[in-house]
Amino acid sequence: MSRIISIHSFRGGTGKSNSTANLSTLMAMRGLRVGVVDTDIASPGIHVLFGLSEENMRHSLNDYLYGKCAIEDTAHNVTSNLKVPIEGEIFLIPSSIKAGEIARFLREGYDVGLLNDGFHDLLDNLELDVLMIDTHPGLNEETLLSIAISDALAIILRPDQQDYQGTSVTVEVARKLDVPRMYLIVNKLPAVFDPVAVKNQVEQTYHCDVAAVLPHSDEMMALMSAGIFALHYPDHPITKSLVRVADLLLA
Amino acid sequence: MAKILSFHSFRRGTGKTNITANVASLFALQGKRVGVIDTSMQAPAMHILFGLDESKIKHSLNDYLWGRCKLEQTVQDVTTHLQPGLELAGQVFLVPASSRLGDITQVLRHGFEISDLNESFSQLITMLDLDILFIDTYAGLTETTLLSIAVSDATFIILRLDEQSYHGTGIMVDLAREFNIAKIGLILNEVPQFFNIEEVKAQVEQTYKCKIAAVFPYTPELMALSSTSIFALQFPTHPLTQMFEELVRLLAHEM
Repeated sequence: MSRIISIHSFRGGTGKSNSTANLSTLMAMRGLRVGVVDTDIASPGIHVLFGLSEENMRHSLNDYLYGKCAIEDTAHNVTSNLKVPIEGEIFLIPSSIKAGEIARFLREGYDVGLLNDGFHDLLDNLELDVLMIDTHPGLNEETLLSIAISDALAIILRPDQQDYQGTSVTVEVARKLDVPRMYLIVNKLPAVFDPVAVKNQVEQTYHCDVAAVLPHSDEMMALMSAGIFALHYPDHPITKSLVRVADLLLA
Repeated sequence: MAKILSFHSFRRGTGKTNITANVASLFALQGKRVGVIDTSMQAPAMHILFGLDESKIKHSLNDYLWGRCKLEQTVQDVTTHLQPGLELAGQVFLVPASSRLGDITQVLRHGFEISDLNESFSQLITMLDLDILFIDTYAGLTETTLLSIAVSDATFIILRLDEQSYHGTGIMVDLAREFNIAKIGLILNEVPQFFNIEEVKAQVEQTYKCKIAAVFPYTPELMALSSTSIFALQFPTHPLTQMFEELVRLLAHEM
């Protein structure tokens, strides 16, 4: 296979990392070798979902981008952290959570070209079926690159005024970058909203397929990113929606 | 003597802008002259809460910081936008950040002079004869975060109960303490309704060794508003509004 999938959102707090982690896990459960890269260097978080602590983080994406190691050295096999038997494998390339390293990135930036090389090296060296990119919110060089090289893109938004305008711009840009497949995911829908109506409205507004409308979930909130929702609640409607999203992204 | 209150969060999507806008509006309802400066230039949102259409923003904080206009040109009196038909005894002035993609990109690439931002705070207080200046910041640890904490009379760090917040919020609390800020408060937001508030409060206070200024439960009515208006003005008798009012009382008392 060998496919690159980006999960993006214009604003933060949309549930991007949670969605990426859950989708990656669902794909691995089908027997796929999945790589997950946390490119949200300013605000890393997905490692928490995969149970990777600071002590166990040997190398991070930051180390690779500053030339301290090869990209393969940053890949952590987190499959067994999930504590359930999984047919495939999940390799996490985390971003550093050390304040000093985050500060360095904020000050100096890095060579975005290295990201592109790194992604392709990961696909080859780890023999990945899928590389999932958990992007930095908003449009900047790194996110543009990730979108540009992706075979599929999922843009997550909350049904909130703060998200609408920026998502419109993001969809436009993604179209110009010729992403082969693009989907919207509406997340954290308040209970009073009608998911079908929202799906139609969003599809009409953005002229883009909505892969899923995920409702606010007390269970998800209570889980507090301590683990993978789909593993804790395999029969939950949200999990079933995410399975369908995985189908669409892998098709 | 005017007070400066700053609002921060380590992660995004914590509800910071909504909280800041609601607290500012309640102070204005009580007759205060309130200024709100949206320093979250990477992802501006305050203008959305205050019902100010992008097209009406001729001069933004960005323009001022890049020397394209005077500070007074960026100020918008949003008092009448807050709740149609509602008479406020005070006033709300907003200095919005630009939503134009080009401006956002420019901030990300080239930044701005932090000293100019610093100067704007005192200038706004004098120019508009403010009682309180609210600083809304971008999430995470940035230069602006540090500046705002340093100049504030009270600083609030908003967090949701989520493992992804835990580590970074701890760093922020420690940093705020190093600045010797007299008043740092945590605001827990979107707490699941079935959680025991007192237990949560005690646990979080213990974890961060920091006072909790407020605990707000996840409120479907607020989420359903979708940032289109100020909750506390729209639902004046709602329990959540009463909690906002409690926070306002706490702040007024400390000031």
